[in-house]
Amino acid sequence: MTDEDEATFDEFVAARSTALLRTAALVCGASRHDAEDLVQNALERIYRHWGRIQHDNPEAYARKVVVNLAINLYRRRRVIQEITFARPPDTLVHSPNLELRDALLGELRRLPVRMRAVLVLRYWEDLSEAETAMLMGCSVGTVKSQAARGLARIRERMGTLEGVGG
Amino acid sequence: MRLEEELAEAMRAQVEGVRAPSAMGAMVRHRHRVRKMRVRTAGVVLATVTVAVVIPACLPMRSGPAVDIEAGPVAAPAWVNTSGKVEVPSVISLTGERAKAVLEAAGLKVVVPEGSRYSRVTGQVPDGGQPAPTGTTVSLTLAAELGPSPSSVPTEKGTRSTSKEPEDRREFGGVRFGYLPKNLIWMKSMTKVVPGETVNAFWREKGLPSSSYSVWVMVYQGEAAKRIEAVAGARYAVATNDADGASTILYAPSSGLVVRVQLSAEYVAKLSRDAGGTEFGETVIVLELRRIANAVTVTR
Repeated sequence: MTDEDEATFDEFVAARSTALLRTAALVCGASRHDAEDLVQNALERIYRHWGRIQHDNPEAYARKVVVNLAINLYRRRRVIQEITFARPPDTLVHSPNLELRDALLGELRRLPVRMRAVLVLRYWEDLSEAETAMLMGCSVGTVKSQAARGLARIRERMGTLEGVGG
Repeated sequence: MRLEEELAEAMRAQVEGVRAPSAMGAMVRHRHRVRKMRVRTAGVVLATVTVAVVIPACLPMRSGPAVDIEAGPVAAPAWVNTSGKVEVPSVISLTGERAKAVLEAAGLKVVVPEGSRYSRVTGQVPDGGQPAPTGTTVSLTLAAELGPSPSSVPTEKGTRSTSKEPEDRREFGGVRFGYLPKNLIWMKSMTKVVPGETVNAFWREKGLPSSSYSVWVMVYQGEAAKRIEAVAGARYAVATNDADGASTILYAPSSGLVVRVQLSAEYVAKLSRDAGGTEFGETVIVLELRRIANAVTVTR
C-alpha cells in the first residue's frame, strides 16, 4: 500500500468505525469487546484490499462485512447459550426491567438474527429497502416482508406485555 | 409515535455511548500483520505435513489474541521480563508444536521428542510457573495422539506414552479430566453422571464457599453429543456470557464427543487479575479453557 492509501484508510476508519461498531452491537447484541473485535476483523479484511476497494463504495462494503460477521457471531453464540440453559449454582436471577425501551430492545433481540439485521439497517441505519436488500444479499421483497413481520412480532409481543393493543 | 420510530429511538439510545477507540487504525494494522504471519506459518506447516493427522478445526467465536496464541506465531508474552529470568509457562496439554512456540516466545529452549508433532504435552521439566534463566532448555514429554480413530494416528517411533498416575477425582463416569488449573476442589455433591451420555462436574477454588463454582465441565457422549453437533455446526467455539460474565468453550474433538467448559465470572476475573491486564487476561482465559477441554478423554 502506498502512503496515500494508508492515509485514506485512516480517514475511512476515523469516519466510519464508530457507526460500524454501533451496527455490530445492535445486530449481534454483542458486548463492547466482541463488537470491537468484530469490527477490527472486518476492517482488517478491508485493509487487505484497500487499494481496490477504496474507489468503489468502501462504506457499503464495510457495512456488508460487519453485518455478515455479526450474524455469524450471533448464530454461534446462540448455540452456546442454548447449551448453557442449565444455570450453575449461585446465579442471580435478574428481575425483568419492563421499561418500554428495554422491552423494545428485548423483543428486538428475540427476533431471528437476519430479521433483526433488516430492522437495524432499515430503521437505525435508515437505509432504503433496495440498499438493505443489496447488503443482505436478498431481494427487495424479502426485505419488505422481513421488516413487516419483525415489526408485527414486536408489536404483538409488546401488546401482550403491556396488556394493550398496539 | 409509530413503532418504527420508537424502535429507532431505542436503538439510538442503546448504542449512543458506543464509540470506536482512537487506536482503531493501529489495531487493525496490527491484526493484519499477525494474520500475514499466521498465513505464512500455516503454509510452512502444510508443506511439511506428510502424514494425514486429524487436527481439530478451529472456528473461534472471536478472533482476538486467543486465536493468535493458538494458531499463529506467538508474540512475546507478558511474563517475559528483562531481568534475564522468566517464569516457565505451563504447556501441559498443548501440542508439541504449540508448546515449542509458546516456550520459545518466552525466551526458553525446547527439546521436543522427535516424530510426534501433533501429540500433546503431558509433562515438562522445569514445571510451569517455575522461574528459570532465559535460554534454559525445557524438556517435554508427549502422550500418544488422542485422535478419534486409531487408524488416522501415525505410528510414530518417537512417541512415548506417559504412565503418570491419574490424579484423584479427575476421572469418573468413564471420562478423564487430564488438566485442571491448580488449587481446585472437586465438588462431589454437584457431579452428575449419566453413563455413556453426560458427565456434569464442578470444581471450586480452595477457600470459596461451597455454593459457588469456579470450573464447570460437561462432557456429552453418544446421542447427547449428536444433538449438540447437529445445532452447533462448529467444532470449536468460545463465548463470554454477557449476562453473568462467565466464559465458555464448546469443543468437539471427535464425532460423538462434545466438551463444554465454563469458568465462572469470579474465576474469570481472578485469572484476568493474575495475568495482569485485560488484554492479556483474555488470552489466558481462552488458553485455560482450551487446555481443560483438550485434555478431556474418554476412558471407556
